Amino acid sequence: MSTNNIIGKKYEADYEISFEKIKEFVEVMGDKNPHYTDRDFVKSLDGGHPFAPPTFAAIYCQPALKNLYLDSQFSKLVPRLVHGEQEYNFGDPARAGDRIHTTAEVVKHFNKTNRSGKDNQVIEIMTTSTNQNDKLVCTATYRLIIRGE
Amino acid sequence: MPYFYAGASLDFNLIHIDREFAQANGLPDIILQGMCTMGLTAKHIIKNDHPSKVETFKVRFLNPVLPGDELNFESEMNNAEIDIEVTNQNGNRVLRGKATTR
Repeated sequence: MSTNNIIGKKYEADYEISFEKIKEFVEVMGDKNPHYTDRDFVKSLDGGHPFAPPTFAAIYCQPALKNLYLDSQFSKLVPRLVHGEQEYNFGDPARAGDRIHTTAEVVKHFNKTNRSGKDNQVIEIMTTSTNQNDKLVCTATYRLIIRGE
Repeated sequence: MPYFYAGASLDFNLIHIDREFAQANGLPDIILQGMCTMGLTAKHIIKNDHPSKVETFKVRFLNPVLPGDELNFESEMNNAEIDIEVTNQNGNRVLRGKATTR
């Protein structure tokens, strides 16, 4: 498969976090933590806007990752793609109103035989997200498995 | 839930929302987005605390989560480290992870 040269491919995109999107996200998860939804409560803590939950990172990283998935070398793999592992390191909290800049880079790509003898491919993507103050918000490693035919 | 999470998370991979497509690609049914399971696990860890308490969070997805599955979250805290395991109603592990807190 002609994906050998995807290592080093890099994609960037911005995402502005809205309070409405945070509310939609936590509602789906049934998460009632007031740090996400109660403006007055959060204002009383430090005067700022509501927080995004940690795995909201999947959303602000998504525009950069989407550019990867739309890449012609990658898009044909997407139907056989499953999420193997995910790792986050969090810096400054992400909050409503923040403008997050994310770069996503393919750092690894190799073949791996699974327990049942199928030849899978493993792709690792690293993302780095900073906010409008150039503060590091999150770095992440996505380990994706492309299931063999 | 995969439909609603797709809308909220922008993850519209058809294996999460189109049963025929998922089965044509070798899956038993549509599967829940791994990031949704991870998000539910984060909710279990944080509860109503400040979300910044989570400094690092790492998971491995072990088995797909299917429609109708019931998930059970178990965590064990050792100092600032939390080990987490999520199982389905059949006792199969779907996620194993580790978080550090500050």
